[in-house]
Amino acid sequence: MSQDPLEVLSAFMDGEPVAPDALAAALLAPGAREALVDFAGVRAQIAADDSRPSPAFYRAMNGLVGDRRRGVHTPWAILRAAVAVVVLALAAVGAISLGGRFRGNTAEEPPQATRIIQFTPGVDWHEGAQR
Amino acid sequence: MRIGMIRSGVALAALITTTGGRVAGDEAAFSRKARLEFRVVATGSKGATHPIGSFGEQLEEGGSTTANMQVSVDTPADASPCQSSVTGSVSPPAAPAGPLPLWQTEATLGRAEMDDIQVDYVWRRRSPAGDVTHRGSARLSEDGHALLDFVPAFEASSGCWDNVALELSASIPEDSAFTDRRIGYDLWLVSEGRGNRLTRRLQLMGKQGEKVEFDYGTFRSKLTVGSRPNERTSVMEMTTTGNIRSRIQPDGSIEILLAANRGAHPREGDWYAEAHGLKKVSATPGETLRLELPPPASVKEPDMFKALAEQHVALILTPTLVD
Repeated sequence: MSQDPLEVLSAFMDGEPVAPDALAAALLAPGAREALVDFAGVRAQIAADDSRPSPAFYRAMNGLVGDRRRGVHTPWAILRAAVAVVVLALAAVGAISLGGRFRGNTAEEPPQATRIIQFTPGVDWHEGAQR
Repeated sequence: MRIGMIRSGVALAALITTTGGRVAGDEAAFSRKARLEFRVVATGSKGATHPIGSFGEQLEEGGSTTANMQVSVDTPADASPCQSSVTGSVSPPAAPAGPLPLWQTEATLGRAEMDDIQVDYVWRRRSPAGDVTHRGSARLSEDGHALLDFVPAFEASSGCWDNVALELSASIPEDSAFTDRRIGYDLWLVSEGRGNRLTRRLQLMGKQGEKVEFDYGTFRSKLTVGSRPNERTSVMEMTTTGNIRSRIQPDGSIEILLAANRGAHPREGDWYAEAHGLKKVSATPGETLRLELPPPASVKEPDMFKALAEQHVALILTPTLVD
């Protein structure tokens, strides 16, 4: 089963082992470039921010990423949490966009018919090609 | 004239169903007319067939017409083209003139509906070889024709022709008030089944009485064939083609004749099945009609037929008047 491209990119950015094939495929996915730029941006912001997050932030992040390792709030873990937030946000935006696409443009939908007319086999509908 | 094709996916709407609608029975109470034409065609020694003369008359349903058509050819002594002629006369000549036929014809217009003209006829061929009479009935489409008689013309005196023949053709005369009007057709194809849906759109236009062809090309649907645990999928290649001919009526409605053909062929298979139908409908301009096309019934495998039947194919038509 194929992995979500953004998860692969996120893992790669986190320094986790990623299969080269999966990474190659993820880089070709729509939005991969933007996601990488976003990840890098978040990483840069976090690296530049030497203020310590509040306990409330840790609790929120733990709730979001399911980190049950209480009391382990290393900068690396915070970075991973932030990246996860970005990934979730991107996924949400993508889902909204795809949803709109699959709903279709209403101008390209057939109009609602006011009458249905049935062909009746054997009466006005026959087997074979029209002569 | 094909203007464009668009694809999209949409949801199905709930509708009122009629098995006939205003179909074929809502014909207006005005007289139906057709123009009948007896035509003599000749085939030259080089193979081409040409009309060389005709007699035609416009009739109301029940009306009759007669014609006398004497075929003659002036064979030139030099290499100039043959001069052929068909001479018509009201009263029948006493005897044929020359070796080529004198055809005496009579026709009665039984029915004059769109693309369905029924004619009873009698023709008598008179020639030095003897007389032949035939009585028959022809059901013609608009601008269709029936070959009634054929005479080989091997004699040198027949000139350049290898043969001459008598044809009958029919057409519906257009109301002068609508001759130049055009009708637009917003025609959608909707194919939907278990978890799949496809739509294609054609926007067409035709003059009053003009037949307009449509063809949605090949579209593929993945059908679920059989039931669990022996369920399998089959990619079916399907086609929908046909034509529309319409006429604006004096009461403002549009009389539509739609012919449709639905075909199916499994991508991994060697059979092709198709079925066709013809429906006449009266609609108001801008009204939207949905015509359901049944699946071909000649599919031998019951599970495959069931899968095809579950793939509903319909045409959604909105006719409009083009200013």
